[in-house]
Amino acid sequence: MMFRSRRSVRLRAISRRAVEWLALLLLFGLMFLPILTLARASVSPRVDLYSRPFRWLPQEWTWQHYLDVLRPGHIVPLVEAMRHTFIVSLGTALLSVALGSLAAYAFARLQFRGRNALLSAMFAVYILPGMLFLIPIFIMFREINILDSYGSLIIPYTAFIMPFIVIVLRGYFASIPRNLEEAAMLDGCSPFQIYLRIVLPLSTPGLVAAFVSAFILAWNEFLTPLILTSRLRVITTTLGQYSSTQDIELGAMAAAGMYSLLPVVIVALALNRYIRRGLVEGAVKG
Amino acid sequence: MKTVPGARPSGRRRTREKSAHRRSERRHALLFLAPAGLLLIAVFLLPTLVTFVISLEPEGVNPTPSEVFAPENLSQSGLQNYERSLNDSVWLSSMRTTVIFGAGMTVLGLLVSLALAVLINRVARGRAVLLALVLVPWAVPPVVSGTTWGLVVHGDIGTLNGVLEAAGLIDTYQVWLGEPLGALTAVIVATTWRWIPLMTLLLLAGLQQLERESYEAASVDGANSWQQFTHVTLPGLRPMLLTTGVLSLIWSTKVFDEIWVLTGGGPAHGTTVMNLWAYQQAFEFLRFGYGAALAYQLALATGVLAVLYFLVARRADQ
Amino acid sequence: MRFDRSRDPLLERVSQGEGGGLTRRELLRRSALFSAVSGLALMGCSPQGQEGGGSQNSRNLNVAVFSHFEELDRRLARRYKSSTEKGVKFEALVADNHRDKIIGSLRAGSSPWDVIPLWSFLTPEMASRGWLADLTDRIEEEFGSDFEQFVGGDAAFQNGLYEGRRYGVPVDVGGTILHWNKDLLEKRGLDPEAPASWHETAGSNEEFVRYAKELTFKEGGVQHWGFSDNWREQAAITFNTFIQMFGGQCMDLSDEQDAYGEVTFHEGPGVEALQFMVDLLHTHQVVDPASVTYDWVFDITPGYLDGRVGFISTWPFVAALAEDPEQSKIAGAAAHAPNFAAVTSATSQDPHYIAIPESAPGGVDAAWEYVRTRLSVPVQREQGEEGAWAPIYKDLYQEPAVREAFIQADVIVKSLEYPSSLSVTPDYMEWRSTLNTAISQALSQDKTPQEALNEAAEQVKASRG
Repeated sequence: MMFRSRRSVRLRAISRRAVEWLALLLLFGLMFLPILTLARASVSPRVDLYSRPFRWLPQEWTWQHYLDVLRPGHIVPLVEAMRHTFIVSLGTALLSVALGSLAAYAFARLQFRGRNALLSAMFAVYILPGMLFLIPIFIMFREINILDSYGSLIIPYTAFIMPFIVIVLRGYFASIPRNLEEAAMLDGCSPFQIYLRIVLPLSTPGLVAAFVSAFILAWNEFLTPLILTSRLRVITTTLGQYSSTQDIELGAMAAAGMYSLLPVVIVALALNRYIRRGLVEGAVKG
Repeated sequence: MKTVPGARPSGRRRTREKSAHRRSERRHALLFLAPAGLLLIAVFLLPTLVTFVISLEPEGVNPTPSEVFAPENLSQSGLQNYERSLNDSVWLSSMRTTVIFGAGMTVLGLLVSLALAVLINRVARGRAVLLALVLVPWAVPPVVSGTTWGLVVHGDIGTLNGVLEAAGLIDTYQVWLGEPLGALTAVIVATTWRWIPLMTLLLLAGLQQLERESYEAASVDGANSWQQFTHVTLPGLRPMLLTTGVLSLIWSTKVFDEIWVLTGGGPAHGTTVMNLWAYQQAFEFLRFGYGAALAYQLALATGVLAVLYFLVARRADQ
Repeated sequence: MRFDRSRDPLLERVSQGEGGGLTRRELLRRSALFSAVSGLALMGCSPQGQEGGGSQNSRNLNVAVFSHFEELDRRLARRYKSSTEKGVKFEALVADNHRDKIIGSLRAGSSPWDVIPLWSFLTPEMASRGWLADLTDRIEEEFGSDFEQFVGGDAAFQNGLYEGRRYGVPVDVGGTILHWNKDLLEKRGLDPEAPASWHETAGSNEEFVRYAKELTFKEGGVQHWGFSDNWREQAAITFNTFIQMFGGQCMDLSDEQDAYGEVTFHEGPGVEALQFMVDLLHTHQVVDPASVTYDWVFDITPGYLDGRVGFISTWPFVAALAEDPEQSKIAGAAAHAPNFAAVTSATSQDPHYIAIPESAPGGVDAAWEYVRTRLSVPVQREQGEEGAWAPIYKDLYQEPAVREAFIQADVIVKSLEYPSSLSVTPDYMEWRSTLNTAISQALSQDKTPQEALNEAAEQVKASRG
């Protein structure tokens, strides 16, 4: 009796676990359907991609699309665009972490009037439609003649992304015990020295989260470069170039799409622990 | 303030020290905030004000400093662009579409991410992998995700049709984007997909906090897992669900890329949301003032949601 | 033909090349050498590395081109230089958002370019805002008043008109033509050559329907369709073709001085045209229903090139695509002709245009030199021999090299003998969008064609004030 019941409990536990994993598998399958679709298109010859009935795997695999889009002189200048995107994203990540961590420290540790109001104002940048400020920025940048430079993207990207960084880092700084800082203050360190010598070194995980998130957000930015650049090609606007050709090669477009998402997806996977914490922090504490 | 005479000087000194310290903190705060603040003023605040001025000016004013601030244009300022929007049937229908879009994205997103969060939370081995994988859609560039979903729901060569046909669920290919309701569903699904990672992470954080507080108590009572879910988990998670839901509404007002790629706002404006129509007025039909007026109305709606968010978040904190 | 970029003094100064050029595969392959050289030369350049800006404007001409024309125009630059001693600095614009870019620059009253590329239908809009230079006298001086030397006569130049003056010129010609799959027709017991002469026969649209019905069938679980078309954003283009087939126009533009004209798309021929589209989709059920989602990126080509669609009506370049066995399963089976006829055959012409901004930094005269060269017979011949973009001169279509490159050469010429106007007006973008909405309401059977078109006409009139 007792033996049977223990067995049935174990059976029930196992079957419940099986159901859970099945549900997870289904959910993740649906979640990855788009990316698998893209991957499939990127290795399918055109005639395979168009043919019916539907086949998951192409009859003949081809890596040609991946080679085609890298060839200099391909209608879509992918290599160049990736290089530009990398530089711009790196610049944005550095600048927004530098400026954002300064501001975050003030919000986390210093007392001043209007603190909450300022924090809310930052949140506003983060949520309001880009339509409100992009056109005047375009005109302003043209007046001072910096369109199509790296700066013309790094500056607005930083402004859009930094509020998020501030929120992430403020949460992180607040979680650092104060006693070290208090000791340093008694030693006569200025707030800036404390920030530089104590808070920053103690916050490496938070800084990594902020830096990587900023990098990925900058990499994916679309509307801003669409409006602000024409000669300086970045990856997202370059992908749009496929729709400009008369003959649309879906396979090559998919391969370029894979190239553009792989760097960020790999970084996101590798550093997901840091990013996850940052994202939750950034979304909730805003 | 009455104190023992002997203690006076030191008390005073402490106050003086304190206020000196305050002042120095304030000064430092200013220095710490200045770089970020200047950047935001230049890139965000000033342009937003310029856009507001433009939204009041008559049609045909070019958005250059010399024209926007020309006295003859400023003197013609009024609410005509805002009045005009009241008679714009597409704008009115786009409000409805935006609301449906936001509601759909929020409900779908909460359902899927709640399921994901609860399931992931129950897994012991392999959890780290699942947590990493769940992040992937967040990192995919929205432009790529738009095109990718286009390949999924394509009426002729799409994988969704292929999969459903292979599974025996349909016998002719469906035209998912062919009529307004289907198209709206498709863009909702595609957009929600990108936000599911964040929503799942938020709900997971909520679950973990809940676990620390009350979960064990209930499981000892001998409740089965469904009862435990409905009686303990859901009520306990309510503040986080509310927070996530309002955030999702806020995100939904900004949608652009997926709709632009998948439907272009059609068919018959069935997927034209406010953000899209404001963009089209400004850039396609070159009514910049009108587009600005529409963008401001959208910003107002987002602002209301933001206030709602602060209220919800404060209640969740308590 | 190819040249070493590093040794060409002109091209050294040319803008940072994004490589590119014509879209078609074989052209890309042929341009690989050019591209490899330019690509290498560019690896080290910063994006700001394009000298020029203000200081060189007096010497160089700044020419914006569609990215899919870039390579051709770069080669042209050498020709231009030898005749004027001026260098040309190119900037490739992506078709997708080139209108935004151009408008963004021109509306501030200072154009960074001397020559700009346009879809022809944008010309009246830009002209009405005073952004384009009036080219009427220059065109007259160059070509006289004899437009008979051009394919389709005056038609290709028509979209450049605004209030009787000319503001833009075509660099190619062509409207939609009928493409069909001969193998499929044969398989269904239909005469595979018959569609070739439909354009000469009034009422052959009925015959088209009969064929399309035969071509709609299911085989091995795979659905075949008689007809497929891009009915999302470009539904208005098909409608424009059909309304002309039924003897009408979208706008009455007979008064040359009135650039806006009168709305006529809701009158008899328009209703017949839209009813025809609705019937194809619902009554005869011969149209791939996914057509209402097909557009620019996700278009009609998959079904047609896979051999599952009998007829499409689209731009001539698809003919070459269908002949490439790497791209298509119907190589050797594709045929082309002008569209079938109701009252008459018809097409919709929207060529690639170039125009000169009023505020061209190098001056309108220097820019005109470039335009003149671009339209000259040798350059047009070179363009024709590449086989991608149809040249504008009739005579060139007799030359063997051009004929060889353009398997559909005669069809292009013939199709433009029928009504081919697009009814462009300064507010074309806006009324096309309104019309698209009306079409999709009728196609989803929410409204009758008459109701939908009447409402659209009212809206257009209202927004014109």
